[in-house]
Amino acid sequence: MRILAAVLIVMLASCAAGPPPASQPASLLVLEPPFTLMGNAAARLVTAVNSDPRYAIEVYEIAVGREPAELHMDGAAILEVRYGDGMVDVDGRTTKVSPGSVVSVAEGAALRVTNTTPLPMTLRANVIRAKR
Amino acid sequence: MPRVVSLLVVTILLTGCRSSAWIMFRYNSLREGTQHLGTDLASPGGVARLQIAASDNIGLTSDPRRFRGSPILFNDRVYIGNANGRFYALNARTLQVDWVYPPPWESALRSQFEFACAGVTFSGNGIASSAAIADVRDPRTGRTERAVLFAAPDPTIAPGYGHGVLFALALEGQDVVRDGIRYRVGRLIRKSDVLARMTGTTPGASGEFHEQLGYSSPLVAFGRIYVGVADHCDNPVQKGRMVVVNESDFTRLRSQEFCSAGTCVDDRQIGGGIWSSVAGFRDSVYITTGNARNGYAAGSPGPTPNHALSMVRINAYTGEMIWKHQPVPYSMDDDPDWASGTTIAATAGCGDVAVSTMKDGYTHAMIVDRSTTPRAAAPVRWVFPPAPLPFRPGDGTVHVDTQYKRPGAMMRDVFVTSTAGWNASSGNLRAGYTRLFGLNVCAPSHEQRIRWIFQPPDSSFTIACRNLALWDGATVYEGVGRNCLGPPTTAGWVGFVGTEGGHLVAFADPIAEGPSAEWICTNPGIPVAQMCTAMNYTVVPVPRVLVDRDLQAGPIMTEPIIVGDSVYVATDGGRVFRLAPR
Repeated sequence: MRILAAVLIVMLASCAAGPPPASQPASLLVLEPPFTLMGNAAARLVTAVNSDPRYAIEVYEIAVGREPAELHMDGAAILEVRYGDGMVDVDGRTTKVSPGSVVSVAEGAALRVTNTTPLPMTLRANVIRAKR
Repeated sequence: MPRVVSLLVVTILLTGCRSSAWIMFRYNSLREGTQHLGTDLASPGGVARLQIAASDNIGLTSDPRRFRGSPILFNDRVYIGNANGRFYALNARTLQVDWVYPPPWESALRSQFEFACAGVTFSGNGIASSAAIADVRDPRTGRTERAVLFAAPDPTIAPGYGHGVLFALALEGQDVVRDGIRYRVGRLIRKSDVLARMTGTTPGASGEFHEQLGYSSPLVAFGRIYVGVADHCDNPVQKGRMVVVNESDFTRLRSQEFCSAGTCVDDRQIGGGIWSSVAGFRDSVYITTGNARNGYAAGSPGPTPNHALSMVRINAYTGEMIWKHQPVPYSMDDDPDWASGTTIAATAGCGDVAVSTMKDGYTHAMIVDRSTTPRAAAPVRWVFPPAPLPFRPGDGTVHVDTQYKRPGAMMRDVFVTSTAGWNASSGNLRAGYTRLFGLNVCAPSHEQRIRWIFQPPDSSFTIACRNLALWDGATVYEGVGRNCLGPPTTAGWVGFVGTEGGHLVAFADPIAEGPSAEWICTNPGIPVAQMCTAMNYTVVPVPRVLVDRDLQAGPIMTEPIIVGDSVYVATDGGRVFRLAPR
């Protein structure tokens, strides 16, 4: 029984601490659009609407990890927390957020998102930009 | 060690010491989907040499010819039903037809309502319920004999639309001479009374019963037969019901039945269709139930009681509910049926667990203890992605008609399942359609839950499947019910899965069976280097592809069954194959 337990522990540990090569290329098996770095966060464009002559709308998925993320939105934004708990700071005003929370961000405002858990934190950012 | 021994004993008891068999859908009553007994295919070496060794001679060249019921194998015969309403017994070595039921001069076992779901769902077509082996008493001789059992529409019962019944056929066929021609046909031992009612063929008619058994393979356990009643593509929603009959004489045990909505005698309350097979383990049976809200007018409070969208543990002998786990409340019921059924994981590491993935891509694991005392709260072991339950409106989660509805399989203490993984938490629900996840059932933390992520090679999928799975963020609703992967099965640390592109793919656990050449972030859209761990995800290995065989016979949406040196698969193109190492 102890041997079995030891084997299990080793297996679980090896699962959690799998040592990937540092220079591993993006997997060919990934179909969805990849994230790219946005400051300390990772982000990818979900969809863009550019048919209105006055406004352009872009929707991003953003993942925030262990480091607080300073985010620069190209327009006004509505942030929706999809997963995780944390803090959103807009121009010095801090709001505690959890899944389902919505925060509005004025164009040009300083935005900082902090993930307060060891789990991932994901947000949707609906960015609205006036066309000039 | 006692746990391993007890697992082996349970397996042998459930399979009746049948060493060369796969006697029901998902192998045994635990619905583990894994071959426990001796097979040459439990190690990568044998699997890599798999080639087609035999194919059937049924001769299905025109529609309907789809196999959506999976094969079973017992006493050197493969048994399987087809969308054409015929049930076949094939020689397990050669796959040549031994007998067929009903004989050609009798009506096929088809429903008159198939047209209503054409191109959307396929388990209403002919015989889609996988068979099982049972001991049934022949009413003519009074003798009990081993039989092959399956659920199907019966057009011979008035008014002839195809009520759902259970058929028990003798394992051996018989010769019948008709018009000077000799036929090998199946011998009916007995069939049940009507278990699923089909009283009309008007789409959407709430005054008619449109029930069916096609999504549920009978569970033979505890001297009873359990089968789930669902409907035809919610056209309209019907009452979900677990029907129970005596194994020997098919006497219906109504007092032991369970209904998902309201009571079993009240037909006005609907919802909670059982779109999967009942699992059984130690005094209890387990069901998962479908949606309800689509069947009610806007603003309606829904059924009372409401056991829809739940995993339910039920006393196998009384029908009493022991607990239910209902993560998605009625107010958020946008059709995320719990449609994959329950797998009982008798793990070596953390005891017995009932685990299943819901159609919304969340996987739930429940503690299975020995007490059958009813309780208000279900004992949740974990949910992945981790989330506070039940979900609540405004919590950012999405629960709609996505397609995670294949049963999972056990690979030792790893649950192999098609799931959205972390993408479920961010609303990208379709991104997991082409993937299997190995989830560590006993992992002590969520960070260690995902052991590996597997995706068959791109060529295994059709363009349509890839486009469906390609994350585009625009909408999560589906226009059609396409699926990319069939139910996985396993032997040892080797997994098998059929694909929508018609490939049979085998893979090996990358930790137990050697190093992986590739690694992936547990949120696969995030590149491994630099970003993955920084975003609080983990990096896991990708299983190695052992075999990728294009069978060129249509999608494989049935389970590959593993017996001895062979793996058997049946396809949408109406073919059955045996593959063996060459």
